[in-house]
Amino acid sequence: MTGFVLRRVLAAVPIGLIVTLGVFALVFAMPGDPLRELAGDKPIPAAVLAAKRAQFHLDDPFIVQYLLSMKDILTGNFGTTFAGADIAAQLQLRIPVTLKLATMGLVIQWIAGLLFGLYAGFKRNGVVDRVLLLATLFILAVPLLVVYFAAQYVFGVELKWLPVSGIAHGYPLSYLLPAVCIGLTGFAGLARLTRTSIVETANADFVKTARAKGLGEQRILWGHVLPNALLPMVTYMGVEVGGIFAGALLAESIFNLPGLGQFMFQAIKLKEGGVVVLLSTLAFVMFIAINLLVDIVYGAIDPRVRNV
Amino acid sequence: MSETQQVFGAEAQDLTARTLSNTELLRALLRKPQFVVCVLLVFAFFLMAAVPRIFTSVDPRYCELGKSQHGREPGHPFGFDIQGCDYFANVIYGARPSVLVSVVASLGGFAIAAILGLLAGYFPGFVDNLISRTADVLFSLPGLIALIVVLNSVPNRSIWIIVGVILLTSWPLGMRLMRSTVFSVRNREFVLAARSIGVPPLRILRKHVFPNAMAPLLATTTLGVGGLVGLEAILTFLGVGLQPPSISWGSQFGVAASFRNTPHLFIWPALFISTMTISFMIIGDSIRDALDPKLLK
Repeated sequence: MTGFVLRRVLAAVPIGLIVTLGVFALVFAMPGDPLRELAGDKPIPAAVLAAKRAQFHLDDPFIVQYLLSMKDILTGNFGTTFAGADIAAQLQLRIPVTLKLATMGLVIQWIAGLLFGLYAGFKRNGVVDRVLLLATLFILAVPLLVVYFAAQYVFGVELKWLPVSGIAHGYPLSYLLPAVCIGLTGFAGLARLTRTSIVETANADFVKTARAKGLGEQRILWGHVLPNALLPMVTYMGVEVGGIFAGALLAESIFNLPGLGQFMFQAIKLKEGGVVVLLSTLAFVMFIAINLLVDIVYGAIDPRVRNV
Repeated sequence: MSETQQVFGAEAQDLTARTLSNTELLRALLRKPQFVVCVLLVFAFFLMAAVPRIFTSVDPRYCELGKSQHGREPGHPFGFDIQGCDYFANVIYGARPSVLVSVVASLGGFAIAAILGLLAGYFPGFVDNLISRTADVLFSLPGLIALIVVLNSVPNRSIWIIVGVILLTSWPLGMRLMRSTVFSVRNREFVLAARSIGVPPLRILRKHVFPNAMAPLLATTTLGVGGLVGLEAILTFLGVGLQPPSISWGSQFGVAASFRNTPHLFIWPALFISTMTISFMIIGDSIRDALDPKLLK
């Protein structure tokens, strides 16, 4: 087990280096001078410019800049953004926002997706099943942007039930609407997948055996069908958690929540290579950790794929 | 985008048993009324993208500022936008980027994923390692973030650049699907037979492996077309997609988002884009159902 985790972490290191190097190269290649753009129309004294350039190592060769930002990330010495904000303080403010949004969205989609998917799959072709298939097809088909804007307009602007944007109303009120949007779109996928997985398992021979020997329907579902149908569901949930950062980016920019996604977006716009690499590293580490977790959960629920 | 494809992809995995012939497939599809309706709708959107003039004679760039944000009036069914341009004409002309991005990126994505998947699945060892490890790298960065970073480093974004960048970042998913189906086909009798009589590998791939391994990828690709329409809108809304003066549904959303008192600016492009994605989705769903071996009697 420890060996497996260690191997996976070691294998992730080169991929992480390539990913961050690639991202840094792309930010480096963006046209324009970030400091001049930050100054806008105002003339900026040459001495200030030179001092700033030296502070952010902007005159060093590409690879030196990359190594310096990697060193900053590894030593936990994040420094400041071009505009002068302390990056560590920013992270402290922003990580909770994204975490709250993400957990709320994920909890909503897991509860709804698993419940409806299980029920629909086990009572195949029933009313719930048919309604679920149609409704989820619809949810998956409507573009995310439309879902977000429609929800914001109806519940925020027209009905005034929930705040339109920002986090002035605090947790959980301000997070409810974007989290429900994230949850709803993820729910559709999870429910469909759960249903398919349950339906496929429910036709297996061991389920017929269980039924033939007179087990109750509840015991068949929870004891025989569900454990065998879990693998694809766990995979999908892992992919969802890994991708929540990108989903949060859109939700945060539409609902104006000061989270990590928004930070990333601003950093890309301002060509702050250091911040972009820092956040990409964060996203990458999360991705690797979640994938590892998914593989360990695999082993726990299915001895056939247990990794030693 | 990719989530949807994954869900449906997982639902479509067991397609190796027997594949329908093309005429059988077409006949099965034409029996479904929802498929026919959606094909007609998609055809209408294609027409809208190709020759918008047959839907509206109004110039979308002719604007009267005095009519800014006005509601509907005779001859202008959707009202006017911020600059006072006719909104109906704008929404019609907005179909072009969406259709182009979704269709070209799907076709290109299918081709890239199919070719790389064939190579990776049929030539284990160096080729497989090279392709799969590259896919791992692309996979490990959230797709949207990669798109934003890449698109930001391009100064003049035309629709082709957007398509190209989407292709560059989106192939790993389809490649993995193709690779796994190629694995299941590569040791079947007809492939071994072809190999034993000395057919060159590329011909085996083209004539024997590809036709028998393409169905799952085809199903996920058709299901993904709708998602690409939404992706183009998201990118343009975030400011890394098409730039003004191009007319697109994504930029219309962006404008509508800052003018909440005029919901018609949001409703019409939303209705069009949703109809288009739902049509693509139902077409994809029907194709997948028709290819499902469990429904074959």
